[in-house]
Formats: sequence, C-alpha cells, structure tokens
Amino acid sequence: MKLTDFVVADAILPDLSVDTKEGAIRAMVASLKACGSIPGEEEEGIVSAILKREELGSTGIGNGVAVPHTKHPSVDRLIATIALSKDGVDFASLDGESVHILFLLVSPPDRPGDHLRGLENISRHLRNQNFCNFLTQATTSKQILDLLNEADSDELG
Amino acid sequence: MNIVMHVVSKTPVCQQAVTVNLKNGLHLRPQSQIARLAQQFDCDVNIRIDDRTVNAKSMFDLMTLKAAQGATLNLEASGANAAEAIRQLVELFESNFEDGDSSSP
Repeated sequence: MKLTDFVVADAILPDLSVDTKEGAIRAMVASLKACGSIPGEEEEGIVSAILKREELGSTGIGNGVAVPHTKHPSVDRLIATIALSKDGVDFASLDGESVHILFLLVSPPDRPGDHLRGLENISRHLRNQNFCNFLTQATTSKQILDLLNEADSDELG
Repeated sequence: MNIVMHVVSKTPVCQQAVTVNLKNGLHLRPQSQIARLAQQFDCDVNIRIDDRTVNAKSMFDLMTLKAAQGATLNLEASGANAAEAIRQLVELFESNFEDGDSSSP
C-alpha cells in the first residue's frame, strides 16, 4: 500500500490555520468534500463520527502528529488527507504537545483492516526523520505530494 | 502468569508472551494504552513480533506492529521495575484493554 493510493492529493492543506481540534477536523473533512471524495450531505456525519472517536481517546499520538479517523459507509475505499499547521493545534495529545502534522482517514466499515493498514503505512514513514523534517518544511500541496511519492518509492534514505 | 526472568550483564530482563484477543487486532486505542503504561516505567520496554522488535513507549513504533487477532507478542523489559512493567502490561492484554475493544467509529 502506498501513501498516494489513499491520500487525496487535491485535499491536502499545507497551511492550516485553526484554533481548535474541532476546527482542524472540520477543515480537513470540508477539503475532502470540496474534492468530491465524500458526498456533501455526509460531511456533518463524518465530522461527528471523527469527533466521537476523539472522545474515546485522542488520536494525538505525540511528536506533533495526529491521526483523526473514522469508518463511514459513504466511502467504499480508504481515503485520507494531510494538513500542516505551523502554529500547532491543541489535540490533547499523549505527550501534551501541540500538533503540527495531521492525517485524517475515512475508511469503509466493512473493511476494518483498511484504516489500520493506512495508519501502519503512515507511521512507517513518520519513523523516518527525513520524512518528518521535509514534511514540516513543506509550504505547498505540490511539495507535500512530491514528498509522499518519494516516500512511497523509498527514495528518502 | 509465568514471567521468565534472566540476568544478562547484570541487567534483569523480563519476558512474557501474550496473545492479542481483540477482534480488530491491536488498533490505535490499545496501542495508546500500551504506550501510556510503558512510559510510566524507567526501564526499557519492547515488544517483539516475529523477527521485529519495537519500542513499547513509542506510538510510531507500536503502530507498525501489524498484530491481528490471535497474534502472539513477546513483551520484554529490562532495567528498574522490569518485572512490574511486564506484570501490568500482561494484565492490560489479559483484560482485553478493558473497554478498548469496542470498534473505533
């Protein structure tokens, strides 16, 4: 599985500017809707589901990264988007630090392994310091997309 | 419980194998519970699956585990309070992470 298989390129937000966790999630879901990756009428339902999942336990996994996610019947395959926040968002993370890199995933309910595989894929790249450094330095969607392609091709060293 | 303890270079190393009983495998919530618990201890805490070893205190490491239901994991701790760290982690697995088995929405 490659990052570019499920990250929706047009939904990438290189300069997220929000005050709250909910604001960040809303912006990323709205971005997926704007690309047509999720139906407009499902936007609110998906935001609610993601927020409900956050109540069970923050997806702020530490090191400035959050992976908000949900299963939802409106998608038939795993989709995701990436947002970068220069100022940081308070996500009630495991390590108490604010979040600068957000991956939001929506997966079909009948394929429970999909979002796990997506998260495994993402975390495998996040363990690479080059990937993290280049990601936080990116300022455009194109730079982020190029980085994903390089990571997928194992070109980051 | 059958914690195996041996001494390597004067550092006690504790090990215990556990089985993942969660329906959806070891997903994010139980991973967070493991990390939180392991971080409370000063000793090194690792989890071994097949030929890979990951740091149980690191979410990024735990997320690469790929532990499906039925998978056997080897918990290892070395250093201060290693036995207690293993004991509590084993309890976490055996309790099925309490309510951590409900499917993520």
